[in-house]
Amino acid sequence: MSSSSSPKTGLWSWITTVDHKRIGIMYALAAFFFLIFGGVEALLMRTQLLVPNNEFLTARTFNSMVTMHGTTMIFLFVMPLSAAFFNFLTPLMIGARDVAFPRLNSLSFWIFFFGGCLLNFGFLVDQVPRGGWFGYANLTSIQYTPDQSADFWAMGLQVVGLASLIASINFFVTILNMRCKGMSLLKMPMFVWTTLVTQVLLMLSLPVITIALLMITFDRQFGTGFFNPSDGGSVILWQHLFWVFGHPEVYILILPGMGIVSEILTTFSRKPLFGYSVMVYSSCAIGFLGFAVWAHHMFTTGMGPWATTFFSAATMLIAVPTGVKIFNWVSTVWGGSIRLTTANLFALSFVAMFTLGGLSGIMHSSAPIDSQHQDTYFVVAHFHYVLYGGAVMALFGGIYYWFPKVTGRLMNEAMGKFQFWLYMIGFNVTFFPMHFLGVQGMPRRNYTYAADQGWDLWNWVASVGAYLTAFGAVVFLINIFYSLKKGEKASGDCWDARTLEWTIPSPPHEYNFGVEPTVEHLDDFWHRKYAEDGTKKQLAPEPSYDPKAIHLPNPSFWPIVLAGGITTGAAGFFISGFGLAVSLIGVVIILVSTYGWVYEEA
Amino acid sequence: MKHPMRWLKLLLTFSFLFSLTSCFEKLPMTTVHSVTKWGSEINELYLLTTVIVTLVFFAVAIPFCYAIWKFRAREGDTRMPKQIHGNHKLEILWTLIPVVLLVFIFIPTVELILKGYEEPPKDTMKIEAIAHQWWWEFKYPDLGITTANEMWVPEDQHVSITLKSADVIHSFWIPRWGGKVDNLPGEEKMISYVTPTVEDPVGGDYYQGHCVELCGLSHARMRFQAVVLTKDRFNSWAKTAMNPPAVTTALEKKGQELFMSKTCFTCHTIEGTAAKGLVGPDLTNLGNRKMLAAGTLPNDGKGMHQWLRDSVDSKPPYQNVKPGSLMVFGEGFELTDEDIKALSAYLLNSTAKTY
Repeated sequence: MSSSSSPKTGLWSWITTVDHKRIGIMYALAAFFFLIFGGVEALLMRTQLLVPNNEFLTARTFNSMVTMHGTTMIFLFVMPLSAAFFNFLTPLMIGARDVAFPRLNSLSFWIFFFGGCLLNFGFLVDQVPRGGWFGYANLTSIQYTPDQSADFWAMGLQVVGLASLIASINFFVTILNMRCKGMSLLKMPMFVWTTLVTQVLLMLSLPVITIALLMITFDRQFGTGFFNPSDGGSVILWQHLFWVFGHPEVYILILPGMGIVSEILTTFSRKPLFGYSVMVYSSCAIGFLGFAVWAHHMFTTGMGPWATTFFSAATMLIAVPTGVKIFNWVSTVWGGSIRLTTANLFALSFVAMFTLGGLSGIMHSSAPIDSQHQDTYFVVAHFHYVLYGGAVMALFGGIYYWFPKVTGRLMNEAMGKFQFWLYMIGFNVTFFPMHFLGVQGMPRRNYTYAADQGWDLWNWVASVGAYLTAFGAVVFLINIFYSLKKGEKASGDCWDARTLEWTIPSPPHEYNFGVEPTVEHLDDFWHRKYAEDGTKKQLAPEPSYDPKAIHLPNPSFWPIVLAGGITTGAAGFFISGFGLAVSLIGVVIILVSTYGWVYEEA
Repeated sequence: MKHPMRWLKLLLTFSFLFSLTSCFEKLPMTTVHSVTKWGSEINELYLLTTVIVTLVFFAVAIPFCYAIWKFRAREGDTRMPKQIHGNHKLEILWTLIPVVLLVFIFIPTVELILKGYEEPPKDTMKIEAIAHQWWWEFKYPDLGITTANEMWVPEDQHVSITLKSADVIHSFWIPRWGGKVDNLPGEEKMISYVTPTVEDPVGGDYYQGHCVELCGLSHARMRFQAVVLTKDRFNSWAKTAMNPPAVTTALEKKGQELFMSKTCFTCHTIEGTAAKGLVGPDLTNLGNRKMLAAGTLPNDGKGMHQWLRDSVDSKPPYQNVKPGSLMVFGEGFELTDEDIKALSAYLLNSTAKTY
């Protein structure tokens, strides 16, 4: 049993930590580490496309950039950054001391981090994956990708996926079982709700990609022919498997952002979320419908009239709960007392950008229209509005909003607003012209384009926008370092917020809550601070407690060892010659660390 | 303050109008200037949807921006706004409005989907489009013609194009004809059109096509042309398509010898000669074609020189013209500039008929 009063510092304490807050911070750091990769890849692509027939990058490098930019931004940036929020906030928001399985939580972080490194390993040996983030069969077969780039991709994703799967079970159990007294499901903050729906989506969709990646690994390593037409396999099978995972994945990326924005907008409008229960139901509806729309990525494969009609209809239907959410956010803001902090600017811009992305989504939900837009820059514009203007803007808003809670210091507002405007302008200058390029017929993933196509202007504009955004990212980095050292000290409730994490000091104690809280209302903290008519109440004094009597789980080094074993086992698949031996070493490490784990005093 | 705002307004108006016109510019691959009936129907639906979603966007954005401006907290503002938790009537209303709007998009969508899968009429002209890494092979099974990278069709004719792939997934798209369908290995799909009426009866109409599924290194260099001719000229093209032009000049003769000795014949076919290779594009009557290397270079002496020089000098997959292409010469089969001239003369034959 660890004592909660002794401060723990040093590298070893971070490696062995099972504290959800520290794991959350590590998730965020790792996500930004990988963002550097994904961002530089994007800038290289935009530089290549700055002018027609450019020779800045070779076709091979460009295809690698396309592949790794998509893979990195989805699996190694947005997902882990969302996981950082899940980790840090979920227990605080539901009034718990930690997640249900603290060591498992540490395990998922380390598996994710090692998996991410594995995925990028190709950069060291000049075999960077280049089959697209969707890895369509049979381009990824041993015949058409004879080097090991596709193995890095498949095994890297496999390992990263395992991390998300473990984490999703952990958070599902945490949210369902560890809520404090009085917090019924419909009194949970909106962010906890979207987290819950996200975990369900992860649990149901990740097994599909796990199987698909196993099949492709079998095709490549052991000569099976699941996706090889000459062996009687089917290339379309891969597309179905991939998108049965891949479309829910889109909602996995956006739902946490929706939750974050709901928290920020309510705090800075000083109003409760408009239509809370409808927001909950629409999140669930989006999650449910998200599993019935995957084949809209495959309209051009000629699925036949009725399948095409069904998936068109289902895709259009998903606009209804999404629309309800947007209207409810607008109504949340309406009539409020809106403070335009950086966090709120990001959240407000999320609503606008996400609406734009959603509307262009409706356009190609119609299969015939999609048959003109598929694989053009129109689609690139669409999903960047949803995932970048949507998810990423929300995540940045979340960082500005919860940074004081995490560090005890506020982020610098002037730099924050400067970054916001650089992002907002840079983002729109990059991606709005891509609608035009799409309408003008420019195909995606082309490493170059001819000068006779008339695509020069908007490509040039888009590239300039990308540089602006990169500048914004540098400002953000400076702001983080500056605010860590010199930021204004933040009180426990620096924003006059509404949810439980603001009832405790910033940064929180390791044990979160001295006395486990009891909740009576939705937005319980607001009700403690204010009477129904909005007049300020005297906060009840905090009951006294003995910090030494609080039991916390012990730190453990087994998670990182086990994660290392799993990664070693996976790495064996692309080491020629003695790969089997490496995999076996991995298996031994897995066995030993599992044994150690089981018999360790938690 | 007044002046900057005016400039901003002017700038916004200008960029809005400019973007609109740029969107509807008649570029080679524009998706909004369809020349076929099928394409125009897609365009109409696209425009309808664009209008609806634009209206919805402003219906959301205007109240949203107004709210942000109107209800912004001022310095020292401590008021606590009324805590409104929702309004069932409003929420039901904005659940129903999108449903109604979607119905307007959904009905024509279904109509078009069903139309796209209709059986072709009996008098349809059959064409096979076989996608290769990174070029297109076109076969006319009823006419016994094989050609590459240029699909010749008569005007106002129903054509059914069977889509196949020789290797990985590709996708067949002629933006100005409307719609795309994938070329899947191991499966056959179909796309059909009534070809447009010829606008330029002298030169023939060239519509650009492009592969639109990432298919490996030179995916960006995998274009093709759909060539529409009047019926008469198409018939005379079809009659002579498989007859190679006569080899007359000395330079052309030298080129033919080089073609047979520098391993070209192992991959390419030229009807009426010993060249029967099936790996690369059929080069019978290459002189007829407008572009080289699947729409990458102009098909003239200069383009041919660049293409052959690069194929000889660079090692795959690091070619400059088409990275990863199989167009390579083995060890000891280097070409001098003189050789290239002779090969161009032979391939772009002076007696080749143009249509």
